[in-house]
Amino acid sequence: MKTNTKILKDNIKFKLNNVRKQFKVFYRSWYGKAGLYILIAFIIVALLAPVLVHGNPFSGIPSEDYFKPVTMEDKKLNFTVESSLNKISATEGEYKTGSYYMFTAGESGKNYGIFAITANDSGSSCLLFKTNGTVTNFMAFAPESTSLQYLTDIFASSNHSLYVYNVLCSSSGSSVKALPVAHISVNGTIVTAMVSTNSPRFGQPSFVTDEVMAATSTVDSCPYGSYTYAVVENNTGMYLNEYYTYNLHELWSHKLSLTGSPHIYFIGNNFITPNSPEVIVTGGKNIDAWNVTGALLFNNSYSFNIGQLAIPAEYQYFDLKPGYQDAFMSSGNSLYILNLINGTRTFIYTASHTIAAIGVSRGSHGFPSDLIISSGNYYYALAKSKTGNVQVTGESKLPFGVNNIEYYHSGKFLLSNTTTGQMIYLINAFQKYPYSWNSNLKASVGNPIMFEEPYSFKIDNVTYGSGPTIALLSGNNIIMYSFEGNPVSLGPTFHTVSGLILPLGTNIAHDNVFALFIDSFPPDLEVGFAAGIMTILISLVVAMFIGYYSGMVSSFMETLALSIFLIPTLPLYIVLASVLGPSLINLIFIFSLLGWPFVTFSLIGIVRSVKTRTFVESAKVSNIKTLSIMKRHFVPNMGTLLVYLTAINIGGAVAAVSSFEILGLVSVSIPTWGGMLSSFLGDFYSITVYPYATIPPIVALTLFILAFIFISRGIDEVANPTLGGRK
Amino acid sequence: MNVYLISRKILQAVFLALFVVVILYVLLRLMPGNPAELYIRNLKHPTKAAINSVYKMYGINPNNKFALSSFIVYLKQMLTFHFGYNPAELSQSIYSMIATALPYTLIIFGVASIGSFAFGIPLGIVTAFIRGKRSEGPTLVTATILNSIPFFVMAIIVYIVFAVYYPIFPLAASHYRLGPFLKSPSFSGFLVLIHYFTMPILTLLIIEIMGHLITMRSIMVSVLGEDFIQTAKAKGVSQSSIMFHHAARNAMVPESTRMALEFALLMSGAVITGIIFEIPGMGVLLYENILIENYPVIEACLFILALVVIVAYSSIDFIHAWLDPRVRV
Repeated sequence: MKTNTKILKDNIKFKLNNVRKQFKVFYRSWYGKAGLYILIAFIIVALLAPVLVHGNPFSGIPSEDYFKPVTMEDKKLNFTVESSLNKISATEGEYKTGSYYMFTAGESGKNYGIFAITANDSGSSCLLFKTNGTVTNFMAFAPESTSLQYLTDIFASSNHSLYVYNVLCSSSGSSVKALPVAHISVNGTIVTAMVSTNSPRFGQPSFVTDEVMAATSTVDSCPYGSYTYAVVENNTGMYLNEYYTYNLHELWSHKLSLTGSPHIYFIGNNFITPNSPEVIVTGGKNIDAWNVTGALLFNNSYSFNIGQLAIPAEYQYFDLKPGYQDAFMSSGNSLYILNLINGTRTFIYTASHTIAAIGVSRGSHGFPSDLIISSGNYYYALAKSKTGNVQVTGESKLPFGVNNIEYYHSGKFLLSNTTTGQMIYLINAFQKYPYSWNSNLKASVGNPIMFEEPYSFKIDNVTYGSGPTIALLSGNNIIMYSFEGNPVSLGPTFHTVSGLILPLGTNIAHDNVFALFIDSFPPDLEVGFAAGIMTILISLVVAMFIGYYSGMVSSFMETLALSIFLIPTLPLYIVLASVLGPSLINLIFIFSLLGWPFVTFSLIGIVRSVKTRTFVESAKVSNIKTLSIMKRHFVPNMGTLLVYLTAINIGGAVAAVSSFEILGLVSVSIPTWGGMLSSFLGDFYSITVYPYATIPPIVALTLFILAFIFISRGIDEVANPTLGGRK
Repeated sequence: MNVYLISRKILQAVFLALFVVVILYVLLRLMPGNPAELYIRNLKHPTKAAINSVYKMYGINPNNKFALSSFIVYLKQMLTFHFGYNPAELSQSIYSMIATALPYTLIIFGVASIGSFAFGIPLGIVTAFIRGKRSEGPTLVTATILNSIPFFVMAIIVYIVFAVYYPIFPLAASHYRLGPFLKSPSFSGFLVLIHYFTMPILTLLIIEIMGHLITMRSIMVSVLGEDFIQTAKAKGVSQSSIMFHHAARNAMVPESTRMALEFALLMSGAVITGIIFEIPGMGVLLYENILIENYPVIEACLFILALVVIVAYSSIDFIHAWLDPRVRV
């Protein structure tokens, strides 16, 4: 006699053999095969989803990828820009009646000189004044205490000459002309020159004698003066000369002891204390600082080459008071604080690569609140801690090497690479996606200048004008951007600024569509399978109960099933889902609660027909428990039909659940196929604009339901074999 | 058909309606809060007395949601169709809201169901006609694919094809133009109706016609395997006569059973295409009121929709009895 375990093993082997034979029949049919393969593909993608896609798909993509700049002007100038200078200059006081004047150096025909460009008509320009030879530097500055409003002064230097002109813009902003103020030739070559932009606020220093004042030109535009500095080189060495700007009368000339090419910086406008303001010249390893009277303040030589010096803009007004005496100096990889009174330097920070640019905020409260340095491919935000030492408080990768940083306000900087023409706007150095728009001009550009006054303009009936405008020269074109930027949806692209790969682009909410899509596979598959199987189990139990027992109770249950079936389920789903809350488990629960009648009806027929067969009657007579009758006689006869109905049910469950998702009733933090389509609910037109965001979920849904229908047709072959096939 | 059959059917329909009422009552009371909350939320001075009177007006006992007294009130409301007033806008009676919205959904539901079997069944017969030929495979596959697309996906596809790429139909339904038709039917109003309703009806039609095609075909194929078809062929009856007179008449019986089961699905489809295409029918009514949790309106809407489906389902039984004289009860 066989033992119990052997019977069990034989039983299982027999059943497995049966299943294998049925699978072979199933596999023969084209439908079954296709459905099975599609289903396997879905399951594989769902299992691989954590590997294919990292992180939360709703975290969005970096803003620099989808924020684009708004270009207001890109005009070719009608003169050739002085390429070695490649800069524009303008002052804040330029904004008049909707027109900015900008100034740049160039040549037209045989005329070298300074040209004026108006922003609203940037293609045309006019030559303000000619210089003797190419311009080596120029600045526009607004004179103080002037009664006439439409005035700018332009300072220019060529190889041997200095020029100061007075620029008059007409009140309507339509024409501009320059009147000469002063012009000298120097003895030697001018290496670099600049003007201290503001006139002294509290009266003239004593060395400005009446004689000097009398020698001022007859243009009665500015009773006070400012100071012009030039580093002049002749065969005896390099000298720093100071001139009174409005007649270019040389006030003093001192020899410099520099070891490299010079840069001039000026600080302090108030002339209150004897030692402020000062002019600083750096070159090589040396730094010299002079007072405007010509007294040497300090003269230091360091062990390293001095790079850039960055002075916060508001320090100009504080007379080098304590707290407002420090500038930031970069040299190689290191950043130092330079005390401007005595020239001592304090080391703050060493970066991993050469510091290419320093950007500081205005510093109206002492130590600047925002300080950014760019080094290699990273920027570092530095701040002073409570203990007084300066440390890094934020850093992030830069999309390109940055060699120029301009400060706007509130911690916003414009980072640019003037050689490659790339720019990016940093809005908050401490957040995860710190950037806003970016632009790539793919040509070398001049330093961008920013106009604080909003320059209002309209593009496509949208008015921009709440932010500053940036103007820069690129080749011979003047380009102006609004700072505001525009979020756009990206198509499938493999080149984004942050280096992300977006095989399916972004949707309206700027999420990575590919990540959303792949991450939707697990939840949708889980919901489909769980809902379908739970429904089948409930239906099985109820169907067997109804079919086996006849009489009042079972007909009551049948009517109940019919009435649940006849309530239009989708509205009821929506009501219950919105009441019970948007979670997937609730949805599975609701679907099972309301979806069982359909399968039950199919099963009742089978149960009733099996019940009429003799072996059931004989089992009943032999007093076998009802439960084991059901288990042993009914279930095996319904086996394939159950699988068939399960397949159809799972497809139906996914369809119903995705209808909720598109109506927005599922929690939005779970990625699902219907959720990807929910943003199009009121606005199907946008589907044609973003097809890459909508076609994947539609195709996935259809294929998934299709796979189950094909599988069920394959199982159909097994469940209802017809002689000679289905023909 | 005799009186006994009709009365039995009516009794069954009444029982179904009663069951639906009870189920809706239970399911909707299972939720947190109660229907009067919307009204109470909008009260300016929620004093105890005011709140109590609101509860009394709604017939709700806030302490015991399933209380018999509130059930009786609810039952009375549902069965006499006096649903009360819209808590969000007290001048509107719920009955009038449903009365203005229901015809649109009924149009979609009715045209879709009649059209689907008016077109689907002949197509199914014809598909059975071409069994064994090469064109059968692709036809069946296309039909299966189109049948398995969910309603809203098909709605999106129809919208893109017919309203965006080949703009025949409008991008959004205009309530203003739709309104006057039902009050004063006219031919031009009818044209406007066609203009706006074609897209939702089309989405339902495509899916349902394919469903009818597939099931009709499979039933036909099994009927064609029966003996009497063999006899008819031997007798020399023409092929088309066999198809339409002999096989189809017999195949219609199980097909009508399937049709009855499809009505619930069709009604959900009509509701959801109504929501997607913004037709001012029950779909939009239901959706908007669900979003603001306006339970009296929701209960009434669901009840009316269920009633429509019960009526359709019961009427199919009559058709079934007419088609198959063997069916008695």
